[in-house]
Amino acid sequence: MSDYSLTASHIKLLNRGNTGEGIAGATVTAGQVLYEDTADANKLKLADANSATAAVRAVKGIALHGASAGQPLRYAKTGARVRLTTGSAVGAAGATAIASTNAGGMAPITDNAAGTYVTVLGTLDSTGKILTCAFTTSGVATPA
Amino acid sequence: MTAFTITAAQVAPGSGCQWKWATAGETITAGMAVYVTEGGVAMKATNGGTEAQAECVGVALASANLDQPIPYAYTGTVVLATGGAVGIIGDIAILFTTAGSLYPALDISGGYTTVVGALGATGQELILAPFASGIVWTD
Repeated sequence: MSDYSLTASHIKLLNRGNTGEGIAGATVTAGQVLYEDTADANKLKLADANSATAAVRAVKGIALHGASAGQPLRYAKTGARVRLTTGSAVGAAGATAIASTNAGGMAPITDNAAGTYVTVLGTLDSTGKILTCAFTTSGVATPA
Repeated sequence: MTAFTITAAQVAPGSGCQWKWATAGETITAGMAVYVTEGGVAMKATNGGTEAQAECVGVALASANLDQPIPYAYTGTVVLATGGAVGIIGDIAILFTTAGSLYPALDISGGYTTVVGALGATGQELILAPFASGIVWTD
């Protein structure tokens, strides 16, 4: 799976509200995709679309800044509009972004492969630079 | 002049720590002292600039780039290190000319006197008590 190439310093929330906060359970970089580990005090960790554990595939949000384990972390939720880059487009206009099989990453749905549990993150805007978040965790693995 | 050596990845909320959120006006790293503008923008605090820049309100608890949310502790204890003391137990931490950095009070040699807090019983944690005097230190 070829993830979108994101630059942490470019990540920015463009609309108010639609954010949540928690405590990081791992080192997290702005723009990374998160899940909530209910087995570890609800800490926020990096989601992984081919994890064997359903909870790890259940996207909670997208990190809006960097944090190390034990530090407060704010994330974008469904409804948020997140700038992914100030440079060139990270993906095609209108592309659907999904959680990657690389922990914390996001990728175009066209990269989806057999065995991946599809979790839609949202769609890129007409510039290919802004993600409108709309998380949908299917819980279904892509068949071979 | 030697700033307390703080490793960003080791900074964390400690006992009684409470924090607020602001928007970073520049790149800020966990453990840096910050001031916050009326518009809610957090910047690295320094005693070598304007009085407003010396009005430290707390310490960043995570890292952020420009326009990203940044949590800052304003009361309670902040863990600054886990591997050893960052300074002498009971040291008073103040602002200095290096924006965002914390220095022992004995190092002051000019600029606004702003106390950020004191190192706790292990020398690894900062007990926050921000106090911006608005007074320029004069030898």
